[in-house]
Amino acid sequence: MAHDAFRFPTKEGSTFQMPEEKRSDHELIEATKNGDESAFTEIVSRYKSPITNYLYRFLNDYEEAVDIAQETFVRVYFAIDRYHTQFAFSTYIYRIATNLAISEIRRRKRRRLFSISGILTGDKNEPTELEIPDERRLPEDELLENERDKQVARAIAALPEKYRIPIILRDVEGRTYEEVSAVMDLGLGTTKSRISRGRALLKEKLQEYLQ
Amino acid sequence: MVEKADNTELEAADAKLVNLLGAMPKVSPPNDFEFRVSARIASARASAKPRGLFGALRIAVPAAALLAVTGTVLLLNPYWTETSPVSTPVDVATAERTTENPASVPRPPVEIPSTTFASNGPSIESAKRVPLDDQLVASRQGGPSNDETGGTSFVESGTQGVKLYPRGINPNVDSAPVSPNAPKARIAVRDVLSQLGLSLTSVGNGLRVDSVAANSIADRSGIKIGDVIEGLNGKSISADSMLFGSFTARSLMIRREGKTLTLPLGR
Repeated sequence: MAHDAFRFPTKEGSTFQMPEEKRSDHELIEATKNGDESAFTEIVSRYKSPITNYLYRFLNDYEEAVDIAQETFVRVYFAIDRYHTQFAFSTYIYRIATNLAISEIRRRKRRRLFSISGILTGDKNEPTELEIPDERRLPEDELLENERDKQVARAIAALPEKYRIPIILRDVEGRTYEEVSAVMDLGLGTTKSRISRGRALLKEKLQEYLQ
Repeated sequence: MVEKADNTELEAADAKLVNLLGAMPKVSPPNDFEFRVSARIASARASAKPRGLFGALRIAVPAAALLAVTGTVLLLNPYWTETSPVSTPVDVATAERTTENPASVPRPPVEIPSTTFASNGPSIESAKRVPLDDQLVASRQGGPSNDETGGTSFVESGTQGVKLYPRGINPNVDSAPVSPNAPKARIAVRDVLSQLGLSLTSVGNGLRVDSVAANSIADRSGIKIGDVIEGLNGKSISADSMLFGSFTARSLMIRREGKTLTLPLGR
């Protein structure tokens, strides 16, 4: 693949060489802190797919998902000195990605509200704000041929944010409850409760596929 | 028993849902993903780099350019050039009016010479200041205007509210206004008279008029070709007379056909 041929130049100008043994996340972080930028390349390679997929399910927009995934890695790179290795790196990077995605969703809402707030007025001639559902054509329409997958994707996209994040992390990405609670900075019980509530909402919408 | 069956059914539905969600197809990042990340990192580094002297210059150079442009615009502004102190001969001279205007309300005096010349040092006649109303009356009554040949008035007429520009000597004549702070200078009486619209030739006891510019002060004052000017403001002059300081030219003493006449100026 083309991206396999890409290498970050090291500070010494030497070319990157794939080590024989697979290094742990924390080893790669420490190497990056010490100036080994090839170690950061390995981090990117390791996490680019799950992060992109997670953001894609979260945002329902492939281009934005890729863009925010890249921004996530940039943030990680420049904040790497502040990262403490007593925490799981996967939790750390998912948390950054989640925060960026939430910011993007709020930015979208502001844009939509701004565009209609000057047109609509309420009963007392006061401007009213309406939250319009996201009716953009889902990327699944292009990427997925299966009708069932389309319906599932729509159902996930329709979930409220506080249920969508744990459902994607737990049931789509396969993260543990502990990881999900760490990413969301919530207690384990609250996390499980939200996952349960999210599943209940999904079951209502996907009844025909759960018979 | 029924409750347990419900729980089992619920768990089964959850399991189906989890399988359904887990079976969702994964999307792959683009092939140039790492390249874009590295480009963003390089771009962020570049934008954060300018520091030290180079960083300071990035701010200082545009600021200096902005200041230079602003200063140039202010200096070249017509307002400053028209009202600059250079063109404001404060103590050049003032017109002395014989007609009184009792109705005039005292106002700050504004200099408006009817026929004025300036240099530094002692003057032939001391100048007086007159209120603005008198000056306007003088200009409406035929006082010399700035546009008239030989006139050295500082008056520019308008329909409403005459604007006064103390510009000094008539710009049509090659003579610059004299600042009161300039070194003491002398003016040849010939130059003074030429500004009245006269072309002169030295004769034994004065200056003979060779030509009179049409509609000039001299023309309106009744000076004719062939007159010999022998005095200014009641004092005798010759071709070599030099004048100092500020004064107002009010009358010329001439000899015409053997007779000595005194002609008032500024009509």
